[in-house]
Amino acid sequence: MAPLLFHGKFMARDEAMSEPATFRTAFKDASRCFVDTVARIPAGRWQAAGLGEWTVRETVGHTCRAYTTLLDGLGAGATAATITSPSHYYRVAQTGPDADQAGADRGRQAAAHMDDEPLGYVRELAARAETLVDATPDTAIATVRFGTMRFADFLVTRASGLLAHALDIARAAGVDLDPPASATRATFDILRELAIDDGVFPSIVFALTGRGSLHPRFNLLGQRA
Amino acid sequence: MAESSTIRVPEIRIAFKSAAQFLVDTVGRVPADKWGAPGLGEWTVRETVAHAARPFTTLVDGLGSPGGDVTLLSAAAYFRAGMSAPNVNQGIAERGRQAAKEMGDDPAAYVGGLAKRALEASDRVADDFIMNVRFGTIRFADYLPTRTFELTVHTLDIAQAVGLKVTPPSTAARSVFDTLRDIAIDQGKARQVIFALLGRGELPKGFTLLTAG
Repeated sequence: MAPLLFHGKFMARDEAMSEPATFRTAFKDASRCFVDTVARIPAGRWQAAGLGEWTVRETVGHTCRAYTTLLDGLGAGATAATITSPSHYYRVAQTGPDADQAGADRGRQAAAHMDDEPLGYVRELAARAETLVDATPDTAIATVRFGTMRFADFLVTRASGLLAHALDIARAAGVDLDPPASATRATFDILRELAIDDGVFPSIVFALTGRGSLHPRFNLLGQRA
Repeated sequence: MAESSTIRVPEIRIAFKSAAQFLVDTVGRVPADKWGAPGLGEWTVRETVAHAARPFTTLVDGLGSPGGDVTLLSAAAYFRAGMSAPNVNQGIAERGRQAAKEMGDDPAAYVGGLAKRALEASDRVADDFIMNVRFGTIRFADYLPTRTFELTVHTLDIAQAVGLKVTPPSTAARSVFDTLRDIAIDQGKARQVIFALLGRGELPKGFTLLTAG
């Protein structure tokens, strides 16, 4: 297991959240993109294979956790951040006790909450989360599963989660999707920091410029020993 | 489309400087017996080094050619224009070989000299200086990341060709990654790249962002 302290070396740098307006825009756009995608899932595709071991419906349920974690994590009264950037959050999550089975189970539980009206459920959660985000000052500290972090940093992780899973759902359900640039950029900003931290930046550059290919199971967020 | 650079301006200068240093340092570490070894494409290592240093020359040339109306609104727009220009690769190989001849007996000193000139010229201009470059007219602050990109990627080529283990400076790496991101968004390939980096699907064989469309 990689010592977490190591990540403090670069994670202190202001990352994707830097511009005050962009992290809010990224979240809003990602949220809209996710809700739109869910609204366009064909009726017959909810039980189709989704991300990993989930169905499409469970993938949607899991993605809703981006909202519930926001609703739970803001207003908890934390005052100092133990997680110092969006990419740091994912690093901690990767090395946390949590990732595999518990994560899959939570996806199923979240799907169970959706009842017969998944789209209504998603829309209502999105609206509640967006209202709370609008009312939250930039300087707030969020309480998250793995520690505490700045609201701006946390919101960027929610934006990238919503975006990546909207892409997963769109692919699984056969929905055509044009991802919003703001949330796409926010997601790439996290991937960039993970890539540099992992020392795999040269491999990625080679793969994206026609000089080589990535390992078949390459995954910047792969579970770590 | 990504039409304006999102990198904060002081960072583009730091990124360029660190990319320049990365090339100079790497050239200084090329083992003596490797200069004639195969490099990028049809070049030798020596010719690859000469080509890698060209961003210094094109930068100094552009800074000496003030422009009027901006036609290229971002680094990604520069690459888009470059990739769709006809015969863009014509003459590249030959120019690399010519430049290799100019390097003389001390490639590291030659590259270091070019880097120094380029850095000095950069220090004298404001971020919003408008310059004529190969594919159009561009703000200095949008052009500089294209030089950082070329320097960093070709330095990685050199390192790979001669078997050196290198770590690109993180400021340069960030700049290169952001340029790739903007090109990917520009080309509608962002989803494909995100999937590839997150273990959700491999890129097709021969994939490259450096192509027209």
